[in-house]
Amino acid sequence: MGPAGRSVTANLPASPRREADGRWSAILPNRWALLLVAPLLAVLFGFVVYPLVKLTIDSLTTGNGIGNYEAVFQSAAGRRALITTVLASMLVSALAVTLGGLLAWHIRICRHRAVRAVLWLAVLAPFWMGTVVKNYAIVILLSAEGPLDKLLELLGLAPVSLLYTSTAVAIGMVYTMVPYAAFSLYGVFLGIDESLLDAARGLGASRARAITSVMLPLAMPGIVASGALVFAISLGFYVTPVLLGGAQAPFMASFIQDYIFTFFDYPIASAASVILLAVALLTLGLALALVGRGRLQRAVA
Amino acid sequence: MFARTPPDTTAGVAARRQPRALLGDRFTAAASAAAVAATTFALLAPAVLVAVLSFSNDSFFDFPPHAWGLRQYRTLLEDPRWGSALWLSARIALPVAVLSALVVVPTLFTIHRSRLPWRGVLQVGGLTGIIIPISAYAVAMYGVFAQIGLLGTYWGLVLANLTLAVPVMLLVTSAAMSRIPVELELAAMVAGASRVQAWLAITLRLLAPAILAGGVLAFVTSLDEAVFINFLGGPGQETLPKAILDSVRYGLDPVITAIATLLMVATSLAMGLAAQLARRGAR
Amino acid sequence: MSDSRTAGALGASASREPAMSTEPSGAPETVLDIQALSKSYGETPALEEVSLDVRQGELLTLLGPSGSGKTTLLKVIAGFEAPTSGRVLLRGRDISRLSPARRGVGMVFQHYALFPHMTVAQNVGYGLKLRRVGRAERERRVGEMLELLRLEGLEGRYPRQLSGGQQQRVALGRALAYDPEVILMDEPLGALDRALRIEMEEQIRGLHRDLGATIVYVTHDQREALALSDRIAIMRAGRVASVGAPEQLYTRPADSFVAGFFANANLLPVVEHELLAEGHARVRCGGSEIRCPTTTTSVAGDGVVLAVRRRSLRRAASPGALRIAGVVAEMLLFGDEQEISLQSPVLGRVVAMMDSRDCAGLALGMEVELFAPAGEAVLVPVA
Repeated sequence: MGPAGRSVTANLPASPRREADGRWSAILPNRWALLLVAPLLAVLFGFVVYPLVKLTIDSLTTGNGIGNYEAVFQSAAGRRALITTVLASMLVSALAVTLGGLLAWHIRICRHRAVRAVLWLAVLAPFWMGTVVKNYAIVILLSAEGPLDKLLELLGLAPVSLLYTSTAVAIGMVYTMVPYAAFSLYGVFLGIDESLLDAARGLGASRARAITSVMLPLAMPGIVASGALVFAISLGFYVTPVLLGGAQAPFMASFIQDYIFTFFDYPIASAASVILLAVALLTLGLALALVGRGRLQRAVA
Repeated sequence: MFARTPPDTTAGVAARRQPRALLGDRFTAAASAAAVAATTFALLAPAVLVAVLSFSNDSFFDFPPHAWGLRQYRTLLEDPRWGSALWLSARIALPVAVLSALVVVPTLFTIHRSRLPWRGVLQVGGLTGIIIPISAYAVAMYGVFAQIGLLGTYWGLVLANLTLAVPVMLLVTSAAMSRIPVELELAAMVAGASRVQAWLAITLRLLAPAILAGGVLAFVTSLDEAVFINFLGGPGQETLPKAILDSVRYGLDPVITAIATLLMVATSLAMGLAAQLARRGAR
Repeated sequence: MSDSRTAGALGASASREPAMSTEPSGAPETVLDIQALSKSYGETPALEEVSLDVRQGELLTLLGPSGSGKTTLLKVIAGFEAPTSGRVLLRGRDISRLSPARRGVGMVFQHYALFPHMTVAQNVGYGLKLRRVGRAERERRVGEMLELLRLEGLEGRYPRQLSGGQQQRVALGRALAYDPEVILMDEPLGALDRALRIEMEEQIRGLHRDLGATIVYVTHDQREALALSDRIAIMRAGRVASVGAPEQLYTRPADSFVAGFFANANLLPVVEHELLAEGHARVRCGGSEIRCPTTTTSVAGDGVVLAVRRRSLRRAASPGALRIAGVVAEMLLFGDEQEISLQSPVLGRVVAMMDSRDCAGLALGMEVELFAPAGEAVLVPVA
């Protein structure tokens, strides 16, 4: 051992690398940090911040200025679209968080491999289908004398012909957002120690009581974050209203699209968009204040 | 079917103490299992429906099909429209995936290895593109693209899709980066590596699977994009989602079941690959 | 045990390193000279005016409780943290502002920080590769390192395929391979279980002896420090409380903190004391008056305590010994030894560690007398 060790200890040259600056800091200097973040900042400012600011300014300065907003609120179509969109989005986020949450919780606690695989498949399949295909599939499902009507017929119920109604749009939105909520809530539930639930039940709580008094309070911030995100995203749904709601569906996306491409009225479209964005950003801001940045960030599936 | 954990002894003790709780437990368990079963069925049904219908030889929609065969797939191959739509989508998605990596990866070092003020805000700010209402965002992009003449251009679509791909890339790679201990870089630097050498040889090398996974997901995101194309695309620009959307808008063409099925298979494989890569990077 | 080893290591240090022989005999050359180093995070000081020298071929341990600044000091030496003031000289060269790469130190991390995508051989050869050592030479050196560390046959394995002890040895090999001037070790055995830790201590001791490497070793484990160190620097609240050979720190602690933390000694209140010549003092403590060594120069009545190590206490009286009377409050059996807690009305709680055979007949609540030979009690200043 000795001789081998001696030969290894022969002096080697020190590192040949030289840095121009004599002062070295293990923490990345801020100017480097800024340089590295420059591409992302360029994209964010050029294609997120600037467009949103320009949109807001345009909505106030082109056309009739503030009158663009009056026009949106005073037209029956505008009011109906706004109310339907906001209400549908609220309903969708409530349903998505509830059903997605249940699904995620069952994936979390299920011990059968096969059942878990099926549950995961249910969460992933809508992602695999993609936006347009998903809605296409639901169009087929809901169409007159389609599979849903046939199923109802088998059960001895009357056909419902939901296609091209606001209900159909809501179904399509829920279908997209349930897996999204399930995905983000699975992460939340994964962070909760299952033995806490056993402990609560060991102390005599019923299963329902254990869940509502132990699990729900712990998961609540994540649920709030997930709900806020689902709501904000739902406001902007475009493909679903267009395909499932038909030409007359009172949704903001269709309203905006009509004003740009049918009436060539960009000022009113921009005002309507700003209203939609304001609702979304207010909700997200509220969620941010309630649960903090980290949780909101983790809730984005 | 959706068996809960077997009732253990503690549950038994609790139940003896509160007989009514047991009844309540059974009810909640049954109700939630039923809700999950129904949700699972509802989530899977559309995918199964489309896949089954794609093997129908009927010329009209009926479920279950009367005649089986590959008629839809043959029609798909004979119509050049779908191929060119796919080609345009891919031509957009590829640079989107590459650019999203180029934009996001340097940022990771700022977020995870510097003390720049506000660096944490970047984590959420970088996600803006996918959490705001897309149709309103599309109008905002429309205004800017009209101003700088990007409407109806190829690069305009690349840039628009990039704003959606960047958040996806950021989510995947930032999670991976937070799992790489900074000690590995320090160990390399003590051994004689400059900061850049340590980043290239250690951190980026370990990040590579996640970057690849992010690239795959960015590609899929761009391929799936169906809103920007309607607001920002020109008359001659027909991406695959746009082609399907237009076709469905004017009537139900059964050939779409075949495209949809192929897309589903391809996307599931791509996402499976991405998940596998991300997992490998985590080790 | 530790005494004989320490003496051996110190004696051997002159013959260990060829460079040493050119030095004037006696004083080994200082390799690492830490001068008045301070480091604060905002308002919180982590290091305050730390000065320390590390000599050629010695293993110096930084020992202290968590938060005492020992790891911060190591990070400043390695270059991961910049000092607020003060300098670090390596063989006379100021390295305080250099990047870690240009300092020429090696480091073994607490959790090894092995590169997971590199094989054992690639990990060990990494520093050589960065120094542009040719492929053949590199392979030869890596081979030697692996042989030295008993890792032959594992060169193609990846870190995740190795046991904890093997990973530890690879980390050692990576730090040693390019022959750095000084090797820094940050609690390198902290992640190992007890049996493996003792085995690895042997290995580090052997490497240190065979290679003559200069090592700065951080630990919070007093036993580990005793087993490995040529000298120990005891750290407390960002300062070096005391530096010395283990035996010296053990038998002549500089103050009550060193006595309590390092030697685990009882600190007994002193009624009065008088300094005598040659580092001795006359001390009245409890009911007895003894003549014992001291490390204080204070003549004031307060500010001193009598440090009595647990193993110095026994039941047999000896001439001039310190006598402690009390009631047995607690007894803990450690196999051959037994820990007895005595409640003394004058001195408070006193803990003794005695041979189990000596404890025969003792029972809880029993009044007993224990004695400490005068030479084994030390009068120390209160830290």
